[in-house]
Amino acid sequence: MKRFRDLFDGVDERPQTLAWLHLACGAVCVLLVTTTVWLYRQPNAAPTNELALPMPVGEAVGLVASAVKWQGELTVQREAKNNLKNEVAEAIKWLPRAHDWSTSMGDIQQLADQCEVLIAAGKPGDHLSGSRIETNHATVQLEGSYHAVCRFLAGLTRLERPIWASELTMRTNAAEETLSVVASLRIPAAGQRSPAAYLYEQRQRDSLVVALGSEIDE
Amino acid sequence: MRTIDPFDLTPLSIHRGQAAAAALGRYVLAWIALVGIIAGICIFRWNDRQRQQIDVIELMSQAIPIRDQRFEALRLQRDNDLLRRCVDSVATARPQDSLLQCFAAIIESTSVAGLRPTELHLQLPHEVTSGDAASNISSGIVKLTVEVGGETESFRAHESLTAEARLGAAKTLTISQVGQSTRVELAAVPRAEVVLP
Repeated sequence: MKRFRDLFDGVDERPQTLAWLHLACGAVCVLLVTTTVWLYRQPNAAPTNELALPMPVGEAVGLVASAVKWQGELTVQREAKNNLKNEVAEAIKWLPRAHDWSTSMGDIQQLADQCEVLIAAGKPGDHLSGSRIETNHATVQLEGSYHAVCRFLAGLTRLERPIWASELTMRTNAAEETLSVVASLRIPAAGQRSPAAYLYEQRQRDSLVVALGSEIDE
Repeated sequence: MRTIDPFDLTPLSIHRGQAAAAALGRYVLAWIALVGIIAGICIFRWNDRQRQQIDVIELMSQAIPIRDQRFEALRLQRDNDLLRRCVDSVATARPQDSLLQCFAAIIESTSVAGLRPTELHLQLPHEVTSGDAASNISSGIVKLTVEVGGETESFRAHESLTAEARLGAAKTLTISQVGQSTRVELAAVPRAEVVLP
């Protein structure tokens, strides 16, 4: 303390020293008060930019608030997917994956035999990949009674792999009481790029997932 | 302010020195107080920041699984919608017996009128494709030839087609005499399911 006082021993000889002391110490005080006020007025926000957050805080708050909604939505969609699996299987049950002319002609011939219709000729035509399924055109020439032809046309849609009949040209043979009919057929198949092909792919994928799942369980 | 004792013989310079030392002491006290306040604010802010960071991390750890659920739900919804559209479009492509219905209707309506078609051309309305998409629908065709006893009976053939609900726009095209009988050619438009392209 004495040493400290010794510093001011010659104050009267340097009369400006006291004024300078007040000025310097006051300036330090003002600086400290300013710093205090500045610090106090700083916003109290979380410096989240340093954390590399996976999403904005606002979005996270919204998500947490809607947790029940998304949990429910997920359950609904999972149930819907399970139900759709059956519908997919049902939707493509009647539709062969690919068209095979000899199989289709075999079905047509068998039906014609059952309906007592004579198939005079059968000719495959173009195939078109439509917006729903692939259609394969064909033409068949039939001979038979009116009722037999009707049975044949009705039977086409009841086949395991049903077939559209889109056009017919008929002539009556007056002498023999039979009809001579040329019918245009459209034989459906899933094809490669149609929605039906997509359904086949989905079913294949689902059965693969089920197979893998049971393998893991074992 | 300390009053100067008139009997105090201490030199003025010492008094001044003491006053300066006391002033400096007070300044130092004020500095210490201010620095203390600043340190307090800093510690409070730092604590608050730590707490907020912990809160944010906690919030994120709750939000991330929900975000995954949302992503999964939306993905499933999109997949299901697509599957639903495909299932519907494939279901509507299932073959139907519209041709048989039209064919039977024509034969029956003409036979009710006591007539029998000798020739018949029947085409159902069908989708016309351009590229991959079905762009429009071509209307179907019904063309038939019947033989009637005389020219005066030709209206019966026309009426039989007009009365049939499955046919529209029935009209008589030609009436011609062939031997003993009269041949009537008629046309109409079938009302039936649209066949695939």
